[in-house]
Amino acid sequence: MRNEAVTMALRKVDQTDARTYDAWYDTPRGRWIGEAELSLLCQLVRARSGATLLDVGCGTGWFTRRFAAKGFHTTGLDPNQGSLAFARERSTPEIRWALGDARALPFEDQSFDHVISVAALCFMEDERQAVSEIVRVTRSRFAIGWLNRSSLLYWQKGHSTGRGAYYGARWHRPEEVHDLFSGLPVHGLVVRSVVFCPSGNPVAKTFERIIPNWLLWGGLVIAAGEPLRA
Amino acid sequence: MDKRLLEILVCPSCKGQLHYDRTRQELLCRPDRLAYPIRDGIPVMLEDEARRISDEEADRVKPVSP
Repeated sequence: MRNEAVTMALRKVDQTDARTYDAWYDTPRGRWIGEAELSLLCQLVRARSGATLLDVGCGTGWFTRRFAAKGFHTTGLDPNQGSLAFARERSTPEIRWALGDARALPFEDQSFDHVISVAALCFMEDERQAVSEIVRVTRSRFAIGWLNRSSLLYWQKGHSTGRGAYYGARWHRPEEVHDLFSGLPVHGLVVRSVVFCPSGNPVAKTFERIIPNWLLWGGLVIAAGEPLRA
Repeated sequence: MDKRLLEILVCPSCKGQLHYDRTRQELLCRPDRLAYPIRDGIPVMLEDEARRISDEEADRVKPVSP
């Protein structure tokens, strides 16, 4: 099972190459999508500068770097050595990195104030185990993002095996995201979405401002909440 | 190896305490008999990448403060 996840992660990087993958976020459309996702993630974890934050499945570290720039004490974890080497090369030295599997996190319980994960679990088997691990290591709030099957983005990029960086990804409906938390010690779970029109043109940007994020049609569906402590 | 990271790292398999071998650049889990390598300052916390250690080697492991 574990090998499978690592192979999937490697495949994800092979398909696109770390540099190309990260450079996509520097394109006007990529930057707009990334910033929109980042903004909702910050809002959902109720981010406070100076807190500790773990980015699970950080890949090339685009989100990890941005959280660090916002003043978080940030750690990035990914199973792919090539991605992490690239991530570290691009980042400032205060960001910490660890090679690891989301389903067997190498951290003590409640190690981080916040734990985030952006469209990473959808590349592995047994996502529920990864969700459970994220809840375990969170002290305050977590926010986990999945690719949304009920979105325009899915119709553009997710068909058959998926295109580009979406190759091999599993796309979930928002209700399936809810189910991944059933039975876990979590309270105050909220599900929101972002990136309603993935084109990034002025019309899309207007839509993004108007459409409330509780409408779950966006390309990224994010579940956020707090761990329930006994 | 980052001090704060060292404080919170545990064995991904048993979640037990790890022992830092500064010389070999490894993190050792006594109960699982595993040594996780640290490559270029990045801990490799994957069981498949860990080195199996003998009972004798495990017995020599002493807690090392970070």
